[in-house]
Amino acid sequence: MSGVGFVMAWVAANGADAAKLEKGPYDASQKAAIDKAMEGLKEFNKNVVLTPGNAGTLDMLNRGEIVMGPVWVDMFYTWQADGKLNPKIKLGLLSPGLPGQPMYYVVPKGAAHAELAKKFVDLAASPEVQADGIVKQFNWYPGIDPQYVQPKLDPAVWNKLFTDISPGDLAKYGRPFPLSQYFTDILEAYERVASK
Amino acid sequence: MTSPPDQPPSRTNWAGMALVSPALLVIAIFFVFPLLASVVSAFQAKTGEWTLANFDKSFELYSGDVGYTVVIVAISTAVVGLLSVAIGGYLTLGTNPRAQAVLRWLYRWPLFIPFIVAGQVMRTFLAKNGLLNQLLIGSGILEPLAAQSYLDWRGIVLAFVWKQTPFVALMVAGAMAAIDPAHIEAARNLGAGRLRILFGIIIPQIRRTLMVGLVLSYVTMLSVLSVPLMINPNSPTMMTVDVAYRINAHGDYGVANALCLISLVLASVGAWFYLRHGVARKGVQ
Repeated sequence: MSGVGFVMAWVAANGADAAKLEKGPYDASQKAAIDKAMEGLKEFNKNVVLTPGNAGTLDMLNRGEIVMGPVWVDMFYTWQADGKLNPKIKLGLLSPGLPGQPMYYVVPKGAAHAELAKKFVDLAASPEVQADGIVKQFNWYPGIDPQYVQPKLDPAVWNKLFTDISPGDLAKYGRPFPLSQYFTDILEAYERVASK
Repeated sequence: MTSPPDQPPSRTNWAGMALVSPALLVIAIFFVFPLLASVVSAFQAKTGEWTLANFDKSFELYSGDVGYTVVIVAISTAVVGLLSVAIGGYLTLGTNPRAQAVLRWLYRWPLFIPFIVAGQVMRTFLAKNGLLNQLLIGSGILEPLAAQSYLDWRGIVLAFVWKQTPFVALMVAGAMAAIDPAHIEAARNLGAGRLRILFGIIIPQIRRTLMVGLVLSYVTMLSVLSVPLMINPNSPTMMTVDVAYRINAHGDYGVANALCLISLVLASVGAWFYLRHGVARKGVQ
């Protein structure tokens, strides 16, 4: 899946309208731009090693078989903490940016307990829960602006998460995934054009 | 107590039906019905009308993978056949009892290891800087710069062969052991070498067992998802990976079922051999 993130970033950086992919509206005419980006990716892929998935990428990095690869930050830190990854391997967030999982809280219209749901969302998005649950337990980046989470965290935990990539870099180069219809178009175009 | 010989036939039929019905019901509910649903879905668009679009898309995107699957499974089946005949042959004709005992003890191990574990083991064993290459480099057989990754079709074939050879070898060795030793001794007395005995006397007698073992292996390998998923899920890959991908990434059961039907056609080649053999044997009896 981290490779899928890279493909999405490639399309956004190579010809497709990045803002439209992220915010909509859906416009089928982007398909031509997506196909064109895939032709470039097909060329690019001739010089890369395709790994067997997220864990495969981390394994190959660790064995020195590849020198860089798209990885998820939570897996990266968890594996490093478990001693499964060379501590010298570092993270970087490239310009013009890579997407992470989009995370939204949604309360359906007409929900029976909408107020209660909103309270829960507030709780889950609170600096305390973000610090203890999201950052400390799962090694994820906080889902809210990191400056509100920093006071709730040990400096050691904070420094571990934000050593290689600063909150500023994250805000600047961390991107959401494209909207679902674009996402599907890109996946299909990859199979039709890039992996043929 | 014995049943009376003049029992009315209808009662016997009902008792038989009652005994068979749980098995039939299980097959109908868990096999026939899902199979029919899958066939129907392969010919349906998401909106419900009849279409061949799922097959068009399958061939447009995955025709290479169909060929890749056939080639991998065919190579693996052939190698499994050769190795299991070699193992069975040595167990039957070998002259060193100690080597035979070691082989008999060793060859069954992979039988008890699940495919997914075999896949994971191969992934670290066959990688570019994996255990195999490290051993070869360490012992001076391989130059470090010449090391390459085997995590492609070769890795899949190796995992399949490693996993399926014991299964076929077990059947073949059993069948070989059941051959009347007089045949082998007679051939030996007439001056036949061990290879001549293996190919001229033993294999013709265990041909059917070997074929059944290979057909079962072929169908099993065709259906394995974990091994290609762990070793080489990129393009080209095996059809099982494509089926999982259509469902997981696209929720596209139409194309997934179309691919499954194509896979079923490939498997039925094996089934045809199997049935032909079964019918032939019945005819002989």
